[in-house]
Amino acid sequence: MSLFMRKPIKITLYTTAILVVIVAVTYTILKVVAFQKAINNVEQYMTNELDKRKKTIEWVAEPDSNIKSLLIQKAYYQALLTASKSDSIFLAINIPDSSISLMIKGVVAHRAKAEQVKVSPLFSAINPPLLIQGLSVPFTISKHTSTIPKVPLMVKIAPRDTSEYTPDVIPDTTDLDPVNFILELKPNILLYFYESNPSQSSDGFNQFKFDLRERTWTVVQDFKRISKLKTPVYKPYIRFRLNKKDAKVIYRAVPEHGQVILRLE
Amino acid sequence: MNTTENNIDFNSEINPKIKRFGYAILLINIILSGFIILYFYFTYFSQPVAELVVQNRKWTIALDSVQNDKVDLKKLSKEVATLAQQFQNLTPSQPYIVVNTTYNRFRLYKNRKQVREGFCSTGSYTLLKSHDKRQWIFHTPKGMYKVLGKVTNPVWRRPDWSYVEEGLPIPSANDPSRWEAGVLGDYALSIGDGYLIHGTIYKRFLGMPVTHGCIRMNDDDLEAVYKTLELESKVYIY
Repeated sequence: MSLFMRKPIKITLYTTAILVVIVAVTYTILKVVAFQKAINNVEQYMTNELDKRKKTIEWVAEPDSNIKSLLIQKAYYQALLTASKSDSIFLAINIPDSSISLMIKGVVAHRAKAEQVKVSPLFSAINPPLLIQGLSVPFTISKHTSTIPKVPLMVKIAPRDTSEYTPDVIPDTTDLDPVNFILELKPNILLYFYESNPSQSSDGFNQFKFDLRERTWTVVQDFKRISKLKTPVYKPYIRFRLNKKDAKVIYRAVPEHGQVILRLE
Repeated sequence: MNTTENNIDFNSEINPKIKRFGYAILLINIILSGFIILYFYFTYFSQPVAELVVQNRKWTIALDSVQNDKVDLKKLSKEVATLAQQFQNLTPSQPYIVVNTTYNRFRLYKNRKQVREGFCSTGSYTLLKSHDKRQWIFHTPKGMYKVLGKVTNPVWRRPDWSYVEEGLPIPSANDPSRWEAGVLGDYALSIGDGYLIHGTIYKRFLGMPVTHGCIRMNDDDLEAVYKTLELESKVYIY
């Protein structure tokens, strides 16, 4: 009998395979449940936000495409005007033309074009009239993670006298650090901004590491919840791939708890 | 034991210790492979698989929504046009300037059209700590500002940090040695809180974040900005 056909090996092989399948299927089922919960969560959040602003959904039958397009435009402009009332810089994301604009008081300060956009299917599972109206309210950033510091602060200790003084050297402005970042919006919507065409192989590897770390973190959190007999969390997402310079400008300019406007159709 | 050439039992010739070790390694590899497969399934594939069950939601109305039988297309078009106009009006028709502090560039606008762009220098994001526990952060503030003052041949009043930074004793507030002419260029535009748009003698640093918070420009750009922007003109910094 060959070494590989020994009974204990066979048993281990089959048991492992069965366990892998069982765990994978169970996790997937829980993710499906999480997905359904996420739909309710986003719908509830949008309903609450609309209630807070005393906005109502004002149509009943499914409109034709012209009217639907006008309703979407109306919601987008309403969101832009609401965000423009605040002093801070905000982000306006327009999925149909893949544009990401940094705006200050309604003035476009910087516009970037995403090279790739991937939108979570959760958005198409939200009740359309609620989604259209819900997007008329800006979202707020609750958390951010990135591969570059938000504020590139350098600490300098003042010299005690002129003998200790050394004039500043020319700052290093080469863009060596890879730029990838994630903004999390209330209610648990994730916006991934990844540098497209990483210029060096190390950038590509760093992007993979950053992405894998985020995914691993999500899985760890899911298992923590499962261990407490709770369902995992599904976070709707939009993934962008964009030019490194644009990504850096956006990440540095957007305030920690800034506003984000989404136009999905 | 059968040792004929055509029927060799290799197992019988393996040392039992090595055999057990081989089994153990194989078992570990099988279990480890299972974990690796699961890990990559969880991180990369479980979500897309879960998403496969999604179906596009049909248009349904919440019970508490306002019940309208029809959307008035004319009214809706008018509303959208009004909102679009309101939004467009947020962009000033007067001249304004937009400053990018990440890459130290500026764009000057007149009649809502870009008329000039170029390099500038903005805050270095240095946190200067003095030995008497005082500290300053040299950054250019972001947001919308207005031109609050315009002067020609500005004279710089050296603040405390400029002495602390060089290890010099700080003179009294009104000491005449604080005033320096010629270092800010020919023009300066104040945007509030002591921040200025001004010229520089350190032109080789334009395009770099080296200032103490002010926006520095070369002579030609500064002149154009000074002549284009008026009092109350908007300055957008991001």
